[in-house]
Amino acid sequence: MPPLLPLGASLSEAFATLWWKAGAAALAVQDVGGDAALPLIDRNKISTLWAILFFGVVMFVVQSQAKKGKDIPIRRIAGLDALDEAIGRSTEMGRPVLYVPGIDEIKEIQTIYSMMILRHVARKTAEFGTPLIVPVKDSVVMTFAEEACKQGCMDAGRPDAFIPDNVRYLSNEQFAYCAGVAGIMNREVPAANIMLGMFFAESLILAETGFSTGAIQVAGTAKQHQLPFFVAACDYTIIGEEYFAVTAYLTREPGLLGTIRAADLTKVLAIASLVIGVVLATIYSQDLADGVLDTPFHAFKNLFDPQ
Amino acid sequence: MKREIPILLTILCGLAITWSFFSPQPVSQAVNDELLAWGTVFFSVAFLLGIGNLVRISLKQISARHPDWPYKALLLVVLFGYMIIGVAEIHGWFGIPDGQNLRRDWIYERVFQPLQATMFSLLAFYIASAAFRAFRARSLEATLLLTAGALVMIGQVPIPPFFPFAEAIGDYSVRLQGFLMAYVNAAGQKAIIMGAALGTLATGLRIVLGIERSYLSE
Repeated sequence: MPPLLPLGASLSEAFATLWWKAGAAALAVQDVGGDAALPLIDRNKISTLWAILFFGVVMFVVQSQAKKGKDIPIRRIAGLDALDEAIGRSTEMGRPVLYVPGIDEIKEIQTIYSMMILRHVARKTAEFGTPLIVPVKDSVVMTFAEEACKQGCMDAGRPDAFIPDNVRYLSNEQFAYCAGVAGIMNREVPAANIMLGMFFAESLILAETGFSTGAIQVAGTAKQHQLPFFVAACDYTIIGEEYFAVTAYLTREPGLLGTIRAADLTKVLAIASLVIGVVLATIYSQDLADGVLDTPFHAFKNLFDPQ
Repeated sequence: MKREIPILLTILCGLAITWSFFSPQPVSQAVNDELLAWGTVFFSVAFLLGIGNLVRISLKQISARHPDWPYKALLLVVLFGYMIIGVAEIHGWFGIPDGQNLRRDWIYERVFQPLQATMFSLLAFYIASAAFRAFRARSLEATLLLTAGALVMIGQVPIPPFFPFAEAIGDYSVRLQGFLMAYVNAAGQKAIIMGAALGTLATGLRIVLGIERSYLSE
């Protein structure tokens, strides 16, 4: 079948070869001091490296533009606006705020990010004079949470608002921790439950217990399997990528906004790649069915998967 | 310097781990393994901090006769009791044979595991109550959710043979359920995964390059 696109098989293959050669020339040289049989860069991961480099370049360009005063709009995220509302409600009711940072270890990026959000929440609760309870499942996360709460109180100019006993290590077992948090929800009846981080099977138990106590609930995770539970049981849910936009949304720092824009542009690139791939696969579907391996679809596919 | 040194360490460790992801060279893997081993040591030491926090807060509540103090006392008894039994079994104290974790295993399997299973089984009831609220058709979105949920649910359960057209309904419901899960649900999930992956990349770069510093003390 003759190629239907201007990008013929030979041209696209040449482009693919250029792509890999550029990667090889720049990166995949042999390491003289190491194992000569192994390349310096794994060939299967060069497309990932290109994506990261593209992301980094866009990030720095947008960041410099933002620093020069260019406005980078960011859409309204209801779940993030609700954080202040939840803390304000707790203050009015004279009841504490409960912050659950998920159950994973600190090496999980969602847990690290949860600690950054905790600092913002601690600043707000310190400003309002509202107690903040942070139960944790991991002892390393506990030290991070203590530091985040302490720093948040200092940001608010109220270091005395930090109560060390309110950062509580409960258990490193999933359901023992879950039972402990449910106990805090029932006994201390927080008016706001903020659940941000990595959650597993305990997500619905926590969210439903919080619902039964009448607390306003804001939950967020990038773990797609737990999102339906939070959507069903919580008042506001921060979904997927929104979760990683919290600090940029709250602080509007140019450096942080630059990464949001870079993520959006990379997403556009990924979507465009998907569309091109689907179109090429559809056009050359007969060739694919016949087992022909030198179509533009294969050349395009090889950009991402050199196998 | 209080901020600069941690940022420098973060950048160096982040770049080393990133390098080990891309490079199959033995030296990069050795650096990666070494850093992970350090991490394991830190995690082990930090475990003591967790126990310290638990004991400190429990003792305070016991001494202040907090309403929950009996639970806190029980917690400490179980914590140290289990620890003593474990150490005794390792060292063969009190006539407990060396290397045989009979009592420790008995407590774990007969007490702890059933308690974990009890907590997990609560999910069945919570799923029902959450689904009941989520599936109330009060808006277009909720109605769509209800319809999709009902179709997937029907596709998952066998249709009783006494139902009219049971075989045909069963066949179509399974195919419809399969379509919803394989195309509609999977497409939505993959969109979330893609967004989350880019968010992870953005956050990782922000931390490794020192742009995001809110995790550090001032």
